[in-house]
Amino acid sequence: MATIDLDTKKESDRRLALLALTNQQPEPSSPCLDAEELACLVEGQLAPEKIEVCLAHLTGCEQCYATWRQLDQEWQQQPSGANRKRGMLLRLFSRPRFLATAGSILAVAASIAVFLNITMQTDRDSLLQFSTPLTQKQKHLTAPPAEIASEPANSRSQNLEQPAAPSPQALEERREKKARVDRDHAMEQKTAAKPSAMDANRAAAVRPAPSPAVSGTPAKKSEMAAADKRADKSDGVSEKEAAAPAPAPPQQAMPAAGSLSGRASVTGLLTLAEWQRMIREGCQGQPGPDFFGDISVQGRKLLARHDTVILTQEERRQVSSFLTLLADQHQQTASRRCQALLAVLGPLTGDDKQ
Amino acid sequence: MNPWQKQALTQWDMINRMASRRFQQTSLAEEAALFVMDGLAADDWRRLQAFTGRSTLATYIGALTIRLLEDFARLRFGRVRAPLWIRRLGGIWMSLFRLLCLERFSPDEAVALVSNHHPGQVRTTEEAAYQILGEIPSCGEHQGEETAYCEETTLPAADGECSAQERQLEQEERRQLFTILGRLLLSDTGEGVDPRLLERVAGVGITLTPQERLLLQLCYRDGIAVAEAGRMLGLNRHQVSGRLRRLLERLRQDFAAAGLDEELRLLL
Repeated sequence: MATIDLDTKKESDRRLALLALTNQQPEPSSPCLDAEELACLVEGQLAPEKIEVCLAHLTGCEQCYATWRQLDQEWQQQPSGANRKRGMLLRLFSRPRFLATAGSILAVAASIAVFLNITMQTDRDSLLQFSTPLTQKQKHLTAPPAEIASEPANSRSQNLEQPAAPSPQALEERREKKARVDRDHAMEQKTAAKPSAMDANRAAAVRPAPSPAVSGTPAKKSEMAAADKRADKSDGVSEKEAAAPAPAPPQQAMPAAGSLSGRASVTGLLTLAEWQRMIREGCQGQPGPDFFGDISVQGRKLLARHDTVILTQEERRQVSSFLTLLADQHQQTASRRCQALLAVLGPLTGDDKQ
Repeated sequence: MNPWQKQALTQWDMINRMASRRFQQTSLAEEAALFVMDGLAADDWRRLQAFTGRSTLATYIGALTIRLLEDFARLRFGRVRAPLWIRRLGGIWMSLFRLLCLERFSPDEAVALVSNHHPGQVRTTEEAAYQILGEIPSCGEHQGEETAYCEETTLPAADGECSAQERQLEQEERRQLFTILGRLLLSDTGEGVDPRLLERVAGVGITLTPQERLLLQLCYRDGIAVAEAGRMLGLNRHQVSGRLRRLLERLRQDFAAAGLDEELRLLL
């Protein structure tokens, strides 16, 4: 049915066209086209205004019209001509289907390029993170992410315990580092601060389950000491970098109350002033259950530093007394423990405010 | 060797091929190809020396070859003036008239020759050939002679006024034109159309640009595919389809505006 309609439409169009052609018979308005004009017309080498003149002549001159058609057919059949190739290319490029296909291909290529770029960028970042932890630490210390500072305390502590999608290798590395710091702290307490038995028990409780290497032979102990030295060395470098004036603005370097504890447990790096400020800010609000554990860990880390420029002997003693107080009053309520801590800290000085 | 001669000889295959297409008989085609070479070589390759390099030399020699082949045919078979309706229809009608009535080819040969130049329109060409043979019973009788249709025998105008004989001849030709056109228009039904009705329709002033007219000629008179016609006119297939659709719509509107709605409905 559709075919019949199409045929009818075609036949109707043909009759209409023949009527229109019969209606008007123009006379040639210009002399016949010479051979080169015809050749240029067929090859599309004529200027637009010249083409109009030539076409006007062709409508009135049957001989030139017949020559034009024959020449066009001959030109089409030329096997290998540069112009023919160019004509084919032009026709190919002018096809909307070709343009649509080319556009789709380009879009896909761009998508792949963007995807690969993002993927490689991510891989590079993660590689850099694993290979240069010091740089990463410095980055965290100087400019903590805004979302960490603005998060509520509960979610913050959850985030700190479970950082955003860390790899198993990174977690293992962090655990090892924390264990070294704790061991170092315990040894320091034994030698310098003469901690009580309770403090030792608490340190043992905080410390993760000792590996067989810790309680092993002297050879193994020397191995462990060497590893600790390496860790201390790396920590020392980071501490020097941390002690340098931070380029970030104060509000970034000193986030809201309680946020320091979260940051400290992530980075493990605090100065004495920051640690004291952390205690003051924590005790001014309502300290959470992890607060005293965090400040205890930070205090031990401070003591673990062998750098006397950062921590003087007097300050070491002060930190040790804090830790002892924390250990002695671990059965007291949070407010009482805070009162005791604030009493030891004394009134707020100008340095502490900074 | 003359450089122009060398250039012409590189196109010898093309010249031979075109001569074979133009003339079915091998001997005639060879003779025609030699005539073309002689024509190119005339006056120290004057025709080739006129080449300015705006087109490719091959296409230029192709155009010269087509012209020289027509000269050869005219010398060989003479020339004849086609009747008005053939001239009005033009295109393949003129080619077929020349092949059938002047060069005395058989209808099959004439159709094959025309189809060589315009492949894909064999059916249209066949119908046109038999239409010519039916309308001109004396077709092919006067080979190589000047016929009554020759331009030279056309009566000159006397003091700027047409003679009564000339007017009568013109009227007769016009009547014949519309009669045959009516048959062509309704060829599928086998009926004819009143010539006076067609004359009225043809009297409407329709304005066509050269490109529009050539588009209609190529597509509906010579039976060339629309995309191919568009390519010849420098339009891509989408442009030519849209232009043709709008042109046909405009023609319908023009005829309707001339008060020929009823006639058009009857004809189309």
